Amino acid sequence: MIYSPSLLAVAIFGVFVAFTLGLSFYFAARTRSSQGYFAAGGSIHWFVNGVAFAGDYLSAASFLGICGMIAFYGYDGFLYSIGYLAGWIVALLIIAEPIKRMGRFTFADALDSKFQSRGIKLAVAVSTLAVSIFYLIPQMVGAGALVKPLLGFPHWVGVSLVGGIVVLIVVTAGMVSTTYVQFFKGSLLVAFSAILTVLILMRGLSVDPRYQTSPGGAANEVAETQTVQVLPDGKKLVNGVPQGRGQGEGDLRAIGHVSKLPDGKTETGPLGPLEFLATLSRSEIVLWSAKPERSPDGGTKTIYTAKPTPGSEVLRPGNSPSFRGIRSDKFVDKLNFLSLMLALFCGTASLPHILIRYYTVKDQAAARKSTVVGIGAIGFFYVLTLFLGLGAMTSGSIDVTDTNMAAPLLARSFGEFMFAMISAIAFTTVLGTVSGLIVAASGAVAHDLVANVLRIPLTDHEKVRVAKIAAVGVGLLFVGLLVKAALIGVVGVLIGAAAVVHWLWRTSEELR
Amino acid sequence: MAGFDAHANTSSEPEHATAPRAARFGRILFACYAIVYGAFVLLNAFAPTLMQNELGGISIAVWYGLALIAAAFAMALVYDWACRMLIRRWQSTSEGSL
Repeated sequence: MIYSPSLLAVAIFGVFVAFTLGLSFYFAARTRSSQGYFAAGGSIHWFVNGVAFAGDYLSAASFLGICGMIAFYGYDGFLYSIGYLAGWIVALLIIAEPIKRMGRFTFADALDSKFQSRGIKLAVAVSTLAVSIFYLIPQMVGAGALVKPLLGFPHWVGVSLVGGIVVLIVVTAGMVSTTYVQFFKGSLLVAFSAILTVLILMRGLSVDPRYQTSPGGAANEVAETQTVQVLPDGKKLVNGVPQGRGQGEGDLRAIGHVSKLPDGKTETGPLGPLEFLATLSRSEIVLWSAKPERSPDGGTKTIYTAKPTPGSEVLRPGNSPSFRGIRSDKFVDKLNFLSLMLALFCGTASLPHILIRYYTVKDQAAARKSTVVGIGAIGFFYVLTLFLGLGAMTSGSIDVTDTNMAAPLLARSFGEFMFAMISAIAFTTVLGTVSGLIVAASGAVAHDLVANVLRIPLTDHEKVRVAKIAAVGVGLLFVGLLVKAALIGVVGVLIGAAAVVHWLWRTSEELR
Repeated sequence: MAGFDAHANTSSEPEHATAPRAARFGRILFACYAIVYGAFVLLNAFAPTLMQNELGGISIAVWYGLALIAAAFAMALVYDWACRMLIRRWQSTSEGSL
């Protein structure tokens, strides 16, 4: 679909960025030591830290990915919500206390206090870097893919913008500014998801006019398909005509309709949350399936077909391609599902950007309380994802080719302001998660690798400097790789490497 | 307002003294949650049609999912409350023994 980017969204995002950068520079003067940079001096209030947990954890995948999956396939997306939250139980009950008790800045500290082994420290530092980098890739790719439909900028601008802002946030005040950015983002995300859910419930459900019973008595049969064709020369045809808004051009039709409501009604009016689910379960919703084809001349064609589906099927597991194995008779197909759910359960407890947040509060009681707040905020948000996804599924406004756009397009069905707000929040979501990951990666380099594994003596200020250089290096590397201008990436690595070599040289001179 | 550079990551004495009991209680809660979550996953994998049955017009799959999210929050509250109780009890017995 062709999107009209919203100037208001750009303006709101601009205000968010100005606010977060202002905050970062404000705190910069007070966070010169390594304790301040890596752990915010252990002085963050437990409530702020708890909401920051939500800001850290609820990445673009949670917000846009889960909503999109529910909007297209129903219940299956909610399985991710359940698994992602269950992981917090492992983090709170098994991991939080020992990590807080034994560590100082990083997860490696906690293991080191038990084993005192250089090998373990190296393994943990490498694993922190690997997890951070693999987690960063989808965030940055997401930023690039969303920037065009949401804010109207080209892909490279999106990636550079996120990379640049995040590096600034991290190098100015490290974990302090990162925490407040995540607090700000977490609060906005949960609050606006709640507002959107209320709007969905107030609107209720209504049957699309094309599916309403005709005056003769028989329900209209709507056999719908849509096609997207990419010709060998790269031109794109939608439903047989060039995609565009000019004469002789066309665009895809928005999807997401109810074809039947219970008891022959055409609209329900406002519904309560449980009533919404129960009504949807007795309705019929038009879901779409995609079938890609490759034509002999080298082009591709995707045929999207509408299928009115009973609501009771929408609210059961096993509809999406990723979870279809549940309904298979083969054990191996079910194994994929079991393995995914196990990974979701155990995964949270090994995310480096989540683990370092236990060091930003003053003691174990505060760490525990902030986890309780985090679980409350994240759990509440995940309950809302079910309503946001189902709301998008029945909003009549989503794009058949892009599941990730379901939440912003749902917001657009409530007017331009909601679209602008949700788009700006989706972008700020990327900022919060990426800054947490970059702090974790820079801690792994400066504190774990350079200071503890290589055992290079560092003053407190030098350690912060190395961490900041690492943060800039990681940021530039990603921007460089993702804008496909490998040169910038290489330059970023070289600058980082040169700075580290320069500093190692100086240190060795001093030791001599 | 204090800066952010004061070193404050220290474990207090009551926290330290009650840590083994708190950890044991945490492991029990964890085992309970793991069983309920495990049952959810196994039911979805091996009895998906059972999860389709409705209760009050809403499928069991939805109820179970919402219950798992609510249970995680309830468990977090119980664990925090239990840790505070352990500390309070430790403080009152150590004051009594003085």
